[in-house]
Amino acid sequence: MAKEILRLGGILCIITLIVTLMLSGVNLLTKDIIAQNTMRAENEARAEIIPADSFEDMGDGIYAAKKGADTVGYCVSVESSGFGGAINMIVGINTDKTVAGIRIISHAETAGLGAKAAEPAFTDGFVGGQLPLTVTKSTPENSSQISAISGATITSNAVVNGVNSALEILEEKGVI
Amino acid sequence: MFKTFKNGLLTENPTFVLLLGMCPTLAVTTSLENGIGMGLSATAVLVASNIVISLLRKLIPSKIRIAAYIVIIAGFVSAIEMLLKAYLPELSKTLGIFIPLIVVNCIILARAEAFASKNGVMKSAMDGLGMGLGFTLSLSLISSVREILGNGSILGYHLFDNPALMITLAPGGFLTLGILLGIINFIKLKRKETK
Repeated sequence: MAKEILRLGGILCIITLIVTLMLSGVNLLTKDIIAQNTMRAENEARAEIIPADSFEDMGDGIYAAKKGADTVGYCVSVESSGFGGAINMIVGINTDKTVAGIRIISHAETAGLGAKAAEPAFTDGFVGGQLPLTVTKSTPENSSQISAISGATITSNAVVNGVNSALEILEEKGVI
Repeated sequence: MFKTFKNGLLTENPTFVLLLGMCPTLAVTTSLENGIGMGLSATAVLVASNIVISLLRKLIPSKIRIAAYIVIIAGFVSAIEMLLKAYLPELSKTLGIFIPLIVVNCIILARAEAFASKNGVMKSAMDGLGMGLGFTLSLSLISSVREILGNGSILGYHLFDNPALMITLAPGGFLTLGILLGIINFIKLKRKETK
C-alpha cells in the first residue's frame, strides 16, 4: 500500500519536476527580452504622450519631459486596481496641471468591455483634462469629466483614479 | 485520419455537441477578433498537449493521470505565454488575457482523457487539430452574432449605431449560445427525419 503511494507520488513528482525545469528554462531564455520589450513600450508611450527632446529619470517612476533645458511636463508610471487585476499605465501631466495624455501599458480587464480602456477612443478623452478628474455615465459637461465605458464602470473608475493619483505623486515629490 | 479531424470539426463539435469549454466561450465571444484569437491559441495548446500526452500514455499511471495532464497542459500554456511575450509582443498584446485562460478550458483536459491517452500520436494530433478548429469555428459564429448585434461592428468595422449592448454582456452570451444551440439541434433533427 505504502509502496504504491510512494511510486505514484514519485512519478507525479518527476513529471512536475521536468515541467518546472522546462518552464524555468523558458523563463531564463525570455525574461531579459520581455524586460526590454516592456522598457521599449514604456519609452514609446512617453514619447507619444509628450513630444519632448528627452526624458529625465527622476526616480519613483517619474520622468521629466524636457525640451532643451526646460521641463514641459512629467510622465508618471502608475498602477491602479482594475476589475481583473492591476492596470499599469503612464500618465502625462503638463506643468499647468492638465493631462497631456495617457497610455495603458498592461491590464487584465474583460475583453470587449474593460479592455476598451486601452483604446484611443477612451484614452484620447483624457487629453487636456482638468485634474482632478471624475467619471460620469452621461456626456461630459466640462474638461474634468470622463465618460465611463458602457458596461465597464469599474475599469473606467480605476483608470481615472490612476490618473488622479499621478498628480498626487508629482505633488508629493514637490515637482508640481 | 481525416475522419478523426472531421469529427472534432462538426460531428462532435466541442461547443455545440460536447458542450465543453462553456466558460471561456461565454466570456470571450464579445467580438470576432477575440473569438478567432482565442480559438487559434487554444488549438495550438490542444495539438501540443495531445501529442505529448499521447507520447507519454504508457508511462503515466492511471491513478495520477488527471494531475499529470493538468501539470503538462499548464506548463505548455505558461511556456507559450512567455515565448509570445518575448518574441511576438504585438500578438501577445492582442491576445492578452486569452492565453492564461486556456488552462481552464475543459476541452483540453477532456480530449487528453478521452482520446490522447488511448490513441497514437498522429491520430491524437488530428483530434487536437479538429477539436481546436471546431472550437474556433463555433467561437467565430457566436462572436459574429454578438459583435454585430451588440456592438454594431464586425472585426472592428463600424456597421451601425445604437446596438443592443446587452448582447455583449453576460445575459447576451447565454441567450446567443442557447438560441444557436437550439437552431443547430433543430436542423439536425430535421435532417434525421428526412433520411
